Amino acid sequence: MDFDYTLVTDWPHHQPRQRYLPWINIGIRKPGDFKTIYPLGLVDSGAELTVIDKEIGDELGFNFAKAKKGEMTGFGGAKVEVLILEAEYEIDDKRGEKPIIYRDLVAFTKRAFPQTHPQQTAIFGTIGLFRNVRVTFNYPKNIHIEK
Amino acid sequence: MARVDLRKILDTNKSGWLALTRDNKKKIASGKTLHEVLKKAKQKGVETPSVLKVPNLKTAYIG
Repeated sequence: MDFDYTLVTDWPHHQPRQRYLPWINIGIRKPGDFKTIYPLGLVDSGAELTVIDKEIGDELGFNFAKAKKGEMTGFGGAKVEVLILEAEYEIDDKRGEKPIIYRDLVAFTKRAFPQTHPQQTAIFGTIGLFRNVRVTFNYPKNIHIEK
Repeated sequence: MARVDLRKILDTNKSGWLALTRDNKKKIASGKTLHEVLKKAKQKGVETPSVLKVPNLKTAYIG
């Protein structure tokens, strides 16, 4: 599976700059469920755990009463409370290959990501991505993922 | 495959959620909540859009 880098403009010191970011879509759903949401999130080999905005977990109908509570640091030093559950992941670059599907843990934030963080939707880390598939960063051409 | 370019979309949408086509080339809907943009996308015939909460891109990320 090959995913393009995403081109954005950021504004360091109020000056525009073009950047290619490793943002891709990975599907997430309750294990065995049909309803799937495809957040455009950051592929981050430095993140221990996949973290996704709580609204996505709410929309998918996860039962947070069964979740393990946790706290994560990072996010520029901020601490974020999370709720950890098992989810089903789907990786599909829509180029005709069979999607890669697996189950692993996911952490949904209890509140929104810290406002200052340049990713507000999802961060795909070791648990939830890298321990399940092989990821190769071919900057700025593509991000290659294989089982 | 053409590169994903979100510059125009993010320049004109400063907050809230976005629903995009699955190739991330076009905006389908925007709104304050994820539920709202998914509903709008469905009304436009897109059941499984790409979704993105508009980020703050004033700082670089160090993971």
